[in-house]
Amino acid sequence: MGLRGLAELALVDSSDSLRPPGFDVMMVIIASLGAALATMQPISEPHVAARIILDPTLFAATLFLALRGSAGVAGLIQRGVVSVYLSYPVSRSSVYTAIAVSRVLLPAGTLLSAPLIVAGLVLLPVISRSPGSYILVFLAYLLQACMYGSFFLLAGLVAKSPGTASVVSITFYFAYNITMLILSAVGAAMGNSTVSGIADAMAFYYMVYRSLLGVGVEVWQLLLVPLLLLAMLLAGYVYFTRRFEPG
Amino acid sequence: MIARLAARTLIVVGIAVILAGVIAELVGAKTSVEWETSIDTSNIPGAAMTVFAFSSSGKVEISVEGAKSIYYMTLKGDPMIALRQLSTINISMVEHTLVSDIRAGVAYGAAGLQTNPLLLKTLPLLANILPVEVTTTQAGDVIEVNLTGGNGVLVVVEPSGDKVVFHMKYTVTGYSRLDTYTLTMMGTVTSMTGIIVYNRLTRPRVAGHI
Repeated sequence: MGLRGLAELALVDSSDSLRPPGFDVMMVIIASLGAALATMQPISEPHVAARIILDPTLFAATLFLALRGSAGVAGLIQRGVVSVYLSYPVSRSSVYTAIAVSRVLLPAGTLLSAPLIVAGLVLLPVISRSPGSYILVFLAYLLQACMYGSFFLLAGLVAKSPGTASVVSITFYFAYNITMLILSAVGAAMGNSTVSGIADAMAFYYMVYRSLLGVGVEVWQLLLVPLLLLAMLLAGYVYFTRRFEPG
Repeated sequence: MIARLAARTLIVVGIAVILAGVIAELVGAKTSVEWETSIDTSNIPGAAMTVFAFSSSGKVEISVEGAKSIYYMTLKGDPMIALRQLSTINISMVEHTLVSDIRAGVAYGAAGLQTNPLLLKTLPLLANILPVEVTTTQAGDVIEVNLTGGNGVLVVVEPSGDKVVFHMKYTVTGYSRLDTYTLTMMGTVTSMTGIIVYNRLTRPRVAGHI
């Protein structure tokens, strides 16, 4: 049952997390924005194209994750759907993984890839020069979105109330970004490269983009966000498998 | 579920690609831009101009009138930040202008520089403390620099008179996209395929109906 059960559960849950028309409307808006950004500017390099298109998309995708990945999960708990999931002959680990896939990875991946596909088609002669760097920047944005999403998921599981979960999630997102801005400003004002470096490292996609530009990036700066993602996934996993009570 | 999601994505991509064709016709990218500006240097010892390719790559040609000596450096990242950082060595900007031309994928601007005139002569020494190469050129020369996305050039001028005139020409290189006709056709085919597949996948299955 293991992997098959996990996949089936993820598919069942994604019929709710990706349900139309909300998800489709969001995809149309994001893809249209990508189309506009790709055609209005003479973008000449694949990694620059990916960054320009995905910068506004990340914000929209993150807000969507806060609604479906956090408030949505809390709603599932309230309606007793998670109890039904737990009654399936699959382990709690599989249920958690299935929810993480359907509430975080799948929506983030689909939302971020829609404008990327559109821009890839529009700028085909440019992107075909180096599709690897185009995809690499996409994966960096996806990892950042999954980091936000894994916290949102944890908030939804702990709060068990859609209102509280969405407020906590959106507060976390803005607090994270404001901290990044403050550290960046303080670093620039003090001329402290370590503080500025921490602010830069909080945006994993920026680190990957900078390394593609040939600007020096330190290893710890590339590890900060992946480690945060792992820590949040692990916290969610431990909470769901050991402490979580659906009632 | 995955097939339905793929079909829905095809519809969305198709619509966006058609839209891309429309936007390209109405407000498509420009492949060259020219700009001229002058800085009154009667009361200040220097002037600067910067060009930053934020999304495009291209060749920038800058000619300067009214210059005694010219220094320029290419920088990774926004040169406006570098220009502001000059304040740390006591060179500050006055009456600056910045134009961001999204359709050419380039930002450019000029500013007067307030500082000790002797300090400007030490600019070539910057290369000793920063990872930049400062080039000195003669008045009347045209500065030609190839910029890639995310890079910029900063030109600092020591004036010979009361006015410095900058003339900049930026020509985009390496840009290419599918033409509007192909985009429209591709978008139509993609969205129609998505609609047909989605329709087949969600059609109610009635007994006896194939």
